[in-house]
Amino acid sequence: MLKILGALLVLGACGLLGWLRAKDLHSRPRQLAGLQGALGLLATEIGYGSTPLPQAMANVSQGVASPVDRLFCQVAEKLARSQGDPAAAVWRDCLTTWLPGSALHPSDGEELGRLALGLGEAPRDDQLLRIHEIKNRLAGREEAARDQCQKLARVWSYGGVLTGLLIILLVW
Amino acid sequence: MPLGWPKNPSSNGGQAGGPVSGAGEKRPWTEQILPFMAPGLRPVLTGLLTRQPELMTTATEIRLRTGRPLAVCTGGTDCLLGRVTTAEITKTLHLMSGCSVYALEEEFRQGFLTLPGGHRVGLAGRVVLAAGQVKTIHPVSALNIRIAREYPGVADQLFPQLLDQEGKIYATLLISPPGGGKTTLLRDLVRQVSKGRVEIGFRGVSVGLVDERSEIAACYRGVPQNDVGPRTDVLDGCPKSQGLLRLLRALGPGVLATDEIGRLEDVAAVEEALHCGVPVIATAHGYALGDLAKRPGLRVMLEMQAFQRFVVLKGRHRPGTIEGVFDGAGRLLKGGQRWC
Repeated sequence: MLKILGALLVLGACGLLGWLRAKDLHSRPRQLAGLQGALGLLATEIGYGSTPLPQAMANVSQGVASPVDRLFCQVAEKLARSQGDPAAAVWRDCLTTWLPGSALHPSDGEELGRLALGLGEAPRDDQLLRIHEIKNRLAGREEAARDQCQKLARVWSYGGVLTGLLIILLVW
Repeated sequence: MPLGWPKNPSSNGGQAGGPVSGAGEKRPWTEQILPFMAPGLRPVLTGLLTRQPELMTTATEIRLRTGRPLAVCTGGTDCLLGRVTTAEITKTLHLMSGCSVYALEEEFRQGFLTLPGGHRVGLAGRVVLAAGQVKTIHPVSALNIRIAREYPGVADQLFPQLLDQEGKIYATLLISPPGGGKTTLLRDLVRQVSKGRVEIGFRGVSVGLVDERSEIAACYRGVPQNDVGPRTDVLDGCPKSQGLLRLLRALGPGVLATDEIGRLEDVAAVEEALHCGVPVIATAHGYALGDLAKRPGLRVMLEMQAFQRFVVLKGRHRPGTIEGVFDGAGRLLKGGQRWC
C-alpha cells in the first residue's frame, strides 16, 4: 500500500514539475508581448501626452494584463512616494522584485533594465528612441520564446509524467 | 494724487488682509514648497522659520546653489544656512519635475518651472545649445524658488476708471518698469473682470488670458494656481501673438488679457481683437507713456489707437503705486502729473 502511495506521489510530483515548466514556456511569450504593449502605451504617454512619469506608469498599468500591470503599478506607487530618488533606481528596484514572480528569464530582465537609462531625465525623443529599441528587442525575444514553447512545452508536459513513471519502474 | 496699492488688500470676493500664497488652496507657502525640497534641506528651513517666524511673511526667495549656502532672501537681505550638495539639488529637481524632465522640456528651455501654488523656480547651470538656441539646462546647479503671493484687491480703486459709461471695459495698457507691479495689477484686473463687481454694477465677463511665461495664472499642469476668476480661460505657455488669435477664434472671450506686449508680431493679434470689438488688457515695459513710441510694435498700436486707457505705475522703489491714468490721447485723467 505504501509502495503504491509513494509511486503516486513520485508520479504526481514529476507530472507537476513538467506541467509548471510547460506553463512557464507558454507564459513567457505572452508576458513578453504584454511588456511590448505596455512599452507602446508608455511611449504614447510620454510622446503624445507628455504625462508625468508616475501618472504615465499608473495609466500603463491599467491598460495591460497581469502580471505586467503589477510591475508598472509598483513603479507608479514608488515614484509617487519617492523623496527625490531617480526614476532609474525606482525602475531597477521594482524590476528586481517583480522578475522572480514572472515567467521571464534573467536575460529578459537585463533587457528591461535598459529602460532605466535616463528614465525621466532624458529628453522626450531619447526616451522614445530607447523605448522603441527595447520593444524591438523584446519582439525578437518573443519570437524565439514562441519557437521554444512549440518545441519544448509538450516535451515538458509529457516528459514530467514519463520521468515519474521511469523512476517508479526503476525503484519498484 | 497717485492711487496707492491698498495696505490691506480686500475686494469684492477677494481675500482681505494681505498677501496669500496660491489660489486654489490657501495654505502657508512652507506646506506647498517644502515637500518639493530634498529631505535633507527641510529641517534646515523649518529650523530657521521656527527661530525667525517673521520670515513666513517676509521671505521672498529661497536660493539653492551647489556647494554654497542655502539662502532665504527677504526684500533686501538674506539669511545664509548650511551648504547645499549636488545630491540635494538633484533630489530637489527630481521632486519638482516629478522625475519627468521630458514633460517639462519647454520649461527647462525657458529656465523656470512652476510649482503648485504658483511658486516659480528659476534654473541655472550649464546651458545646452542646439543650432544656437537654448535646448535645455543640464546639469542644473542652482535653483531660485520665488515665493508667490497674490494681492487680491489691488485693482479695486483702478477698476472703475477702466469702464466706459455703458459699463464696458476699455482696452487698457499697464506700463511700468520691471518690478513695478504691473503683472500683479493685471492679475487682479483679470480676476475682477472675470468675477464681476456687483457693487459698481459690473457683471463678470469671460476673459481669455494668454500667459506666455506662466506669471499671471501660474498654471501647474494646465490648472491656474492663482485666482484669475471664474470666467477666465488660460492659454499657458503660449506665444502671445498666436494665443490671442487662438482665443479670439476658439473661445469667444469678452476681454483678452496678456503680459508684456510690444513686439511687431503682437500687432496683428491686437488689431484682430480691435476689429472683433474685444478689448485687450495688456502690460508693457516702460517708465512713462512717452517710452511706448520708442518700441516699434507699441508705436504701431498707438497709431491705430488700440488702447483707450493707459495706466502708468511707478518703479521698483515704489512697487504698486499708480502714477497716473491716461486716456487714449494721452491726457491725464487721474494721478499726479501729465506724462506727455
